[in-house]
Amino acid sequence: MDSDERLLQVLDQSACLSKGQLLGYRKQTLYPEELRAVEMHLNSCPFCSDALEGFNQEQDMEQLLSGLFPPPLPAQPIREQIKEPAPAVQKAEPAPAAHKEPVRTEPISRPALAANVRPMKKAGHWRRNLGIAAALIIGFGILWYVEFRKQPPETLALNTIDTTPPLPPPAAPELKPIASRGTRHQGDTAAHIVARKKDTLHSLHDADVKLIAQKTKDSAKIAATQDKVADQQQVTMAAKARASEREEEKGADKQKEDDSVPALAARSAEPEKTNARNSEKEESASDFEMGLKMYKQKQYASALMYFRTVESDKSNAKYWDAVYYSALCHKNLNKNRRARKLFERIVEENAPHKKAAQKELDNMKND
Amino acid sequence: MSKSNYRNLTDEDLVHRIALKQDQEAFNVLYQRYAHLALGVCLKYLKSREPARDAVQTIFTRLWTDVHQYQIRRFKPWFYQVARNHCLMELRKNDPNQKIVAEWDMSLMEWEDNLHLKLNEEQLLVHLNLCLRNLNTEQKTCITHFYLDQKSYQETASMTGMSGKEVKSHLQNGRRNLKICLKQKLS
Repeated sequence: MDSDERLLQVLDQSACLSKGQLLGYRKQTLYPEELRAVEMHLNSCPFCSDALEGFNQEQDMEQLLSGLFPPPLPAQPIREQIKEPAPAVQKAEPAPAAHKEPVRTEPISRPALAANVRPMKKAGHWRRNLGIAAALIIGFGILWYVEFRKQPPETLALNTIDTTPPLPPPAAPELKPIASRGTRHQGDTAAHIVARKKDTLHSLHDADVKLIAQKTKDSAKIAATQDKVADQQQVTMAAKARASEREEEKGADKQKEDDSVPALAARSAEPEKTNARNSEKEESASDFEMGLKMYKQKQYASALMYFRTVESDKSNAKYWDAVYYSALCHKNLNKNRRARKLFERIVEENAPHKKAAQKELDNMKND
Repeated sequence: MSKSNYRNLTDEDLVHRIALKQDQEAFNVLYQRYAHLALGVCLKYLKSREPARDAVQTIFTRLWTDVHQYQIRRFKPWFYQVARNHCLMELRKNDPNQKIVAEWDMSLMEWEDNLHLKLNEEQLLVHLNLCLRNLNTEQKTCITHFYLDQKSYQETASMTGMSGKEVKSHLQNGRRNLKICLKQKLS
């Protein structure tokens, strides 16, 4: 170290002396290097120099230093943000003469300080518990929903109608293909839900019709037996003709009472097979319409599901329409390969939408 | 923040935490750093243990309660001045007629901290050598022995024939005069 560097040490700044350094300096137990550092600092730091001067007056400096503990601190409102900017010039400590007595705030013990913090913690616990409760409720809700969805539609129909007479399983053969359709296209959940709702509505309707039919059959039987009784009375008791006429009138009245039912009774008399075929046709037609509706709403994935159900039956009048719209759906869903196949099929089979399909194919080739 | 992290913070950061968040851990670290020095200063002025201890507790309590009122750029000189003022105030309370001569080193201490920003080393050396020549003989001798010859207080005292206290005093005064001279030259 040359003389210039040594001279610059006059301006050096170092950290203030620790308790150990002060004690070591007083007891003269410091190593020469440390002693030099301490002396250098004492030269530059009036604070440490004054402190050492003060300790020099004391005999037992160690005991004095060991008795130092932080004071109990008064509670203060927390200032997260200092809104007003502090003055640029450092606020000087007032002169000793003008110095006022420091405001003696009542010191509070540490437990009291901790008590200030506790409500925050409590609030936090409360929120956490509420969160857990909410999560549990949502979880159970989802579980219940999943279980509800798993429940077969037949039981749903039975559960919703309070039927005392025994009923045959309602519309089971009609439901099966729809149910299988739902599982086939699990990706499209929205459409699946719509289909399921539709299934339940169908089953409900069928169950209603059969229940009413059963009731009308029963009432018809009762009326027939009453008629027979009246005939017997006419043969055996001529004197009581008026009475038998009254009986007949009563029977007629009872039949009149059931006038609201005969349409349904007549429908119930139709063979079940024709009924099923009609409903299938209606369903396929409605499937196509639903598909078309979805297609117009640009819900191509949902529409595709309906068109596919129509496609499953080749005898359906709307079969080729469904194929054509399926192809369009595929095209809109960017499944060009599948769309092209369907269009080609329409062209090959010389189907009703041949020209349109050819046009679409040409467009796809140009793209 | 862990305790070790607090120890790495500067005084000013700790004060900032106390002012904004009433950070008790920051306060404790600051207490560990300066309580013994404050006690020494209070002992120097108040001359007895119990008042000195009470004074230290009061000074730190005020630090806790009032620190947000100040914009403290350099904590050490500020705190030193607060401690001294408190002691002088206590003395005046006991004896209002007592004449107390207090030296105000705060501005000089603060000026020291920013000195390296104002000058490069060569300029500083030129000015320091000029100022050293202007010091009185005792101060110049003590500074030459202590800083340039790297002697201890005792060695300097034995070489100059002065007492340790005199050497210390000459060194401190010489150093202060050097800084004042330097400040004048720079301004």
